Amino acid sequence: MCMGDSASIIYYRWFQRGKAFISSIAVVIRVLMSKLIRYSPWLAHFNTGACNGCDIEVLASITPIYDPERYGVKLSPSVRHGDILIVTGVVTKKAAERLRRLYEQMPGVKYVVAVGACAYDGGVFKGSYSISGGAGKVIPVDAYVPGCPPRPEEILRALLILLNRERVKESERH
Amino acid sequence: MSIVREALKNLLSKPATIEYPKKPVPIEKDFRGRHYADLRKCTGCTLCAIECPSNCITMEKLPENAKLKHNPRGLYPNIRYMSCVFCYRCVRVCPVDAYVTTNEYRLSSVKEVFSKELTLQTLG
Amino acid sequence: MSGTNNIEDALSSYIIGRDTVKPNRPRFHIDAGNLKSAIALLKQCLGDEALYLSNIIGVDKVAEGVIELNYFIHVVPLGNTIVIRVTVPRDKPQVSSLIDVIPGALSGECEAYDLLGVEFIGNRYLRRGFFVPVDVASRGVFPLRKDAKV
Repeated sequence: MCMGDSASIIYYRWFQRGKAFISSIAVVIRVLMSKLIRYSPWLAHFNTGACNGCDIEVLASITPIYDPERYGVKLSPSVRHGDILIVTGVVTKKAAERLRRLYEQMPGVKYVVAVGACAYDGGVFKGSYSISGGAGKVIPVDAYVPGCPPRPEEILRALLILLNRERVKESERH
Repeated sequence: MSIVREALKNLLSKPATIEYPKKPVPIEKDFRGRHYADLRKCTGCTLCAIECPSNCITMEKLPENAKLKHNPRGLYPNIRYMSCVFCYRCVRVCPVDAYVTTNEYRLSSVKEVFSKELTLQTLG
Repeated sequence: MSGTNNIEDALSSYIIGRDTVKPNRPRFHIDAGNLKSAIALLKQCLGDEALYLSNIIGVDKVAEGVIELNYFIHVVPLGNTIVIRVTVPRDKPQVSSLIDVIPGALSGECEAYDLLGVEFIGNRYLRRGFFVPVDVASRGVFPLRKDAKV
């Protein structure tokens, strides 16, 4: 063993310690994020071939009449900044691959909300040749909002139930 | 100067926000909300399941101990609300008016919601 | 209706039949080979910016063995919509394309090709997987035909 080998072993050990330190910081940040996401989730919205009824209601729920900013919720400029992905529309086959890519591009702790009857399993378009039948087949969904279209305040309430900020009675917590 | 007047007026008036989960949103009485079948009138004809445009009504067999004279087939409808578009065609086509309609629209949830519990409660 | 009488006189050499879809919407039947010259003549009479081709609707008639193409043209100075109907045989559906006369016909023609199989000669942007998903297109199925199995 010559001089160069022992030096590289020492550098290698410090390198491993540095990596372990950084990954433990990453775990701490992730745990903190999953607690803090309750207080200011940013929404990313994606329309996979809808009639635009549910889109209008999603955008109406962002307006000051229903004021989501009192809960810290706002519409984010891109998917990379978003925490909750709102999916509307019957998921067509062409949009399904893009939806999968968008979901994988979202960093960190993320949730998915499927709005409307179409995003659940295709709604009135069940069995058609150009749809792949609901967002649940492509990405894991966390909450559903039924209706065609659902009321805007109901979409806001679904976000709050998801984040455990809304007290629901035990009989109503489905 | 009228813009200053508008600004002052808006500054001193109440905000227009409806603080939704804490205060109710005003809603009309005949809003098409959660509906379910009343077993004291349902005859099990399955017309509602045939009529539904999104095929979300499945017919289920009545529990063993309930023998109803007006329901010889022993079937009742179970509505899957997640897929329902609330068009109320089932309510209109029923020949014996067996659907109970409400204006309850607060159905968003983490799991799936069916009408089975409410329907079986009408038995008694 | 007086405005459309003008159009009818202008196209009188091409028109083979005429009926009415609903009040104030006349429909003219034209031979498939004359379509491009008829539309060019219309554009010449009414002006360059007077025509708006809003839709190309194809109807598949299996019993008669034809496919009908309806061109819904909105004539802007008259505020009226007219329909021009062209019939092509079902086993060899070919029509000349309109995109050098009316460039806005591109989307309607691509849709009619992808969903019904009508070929537009002169349109080099026609492609099978444009609107229809790739697995249906690779089987060679035209979904809007009456005998299509998807």
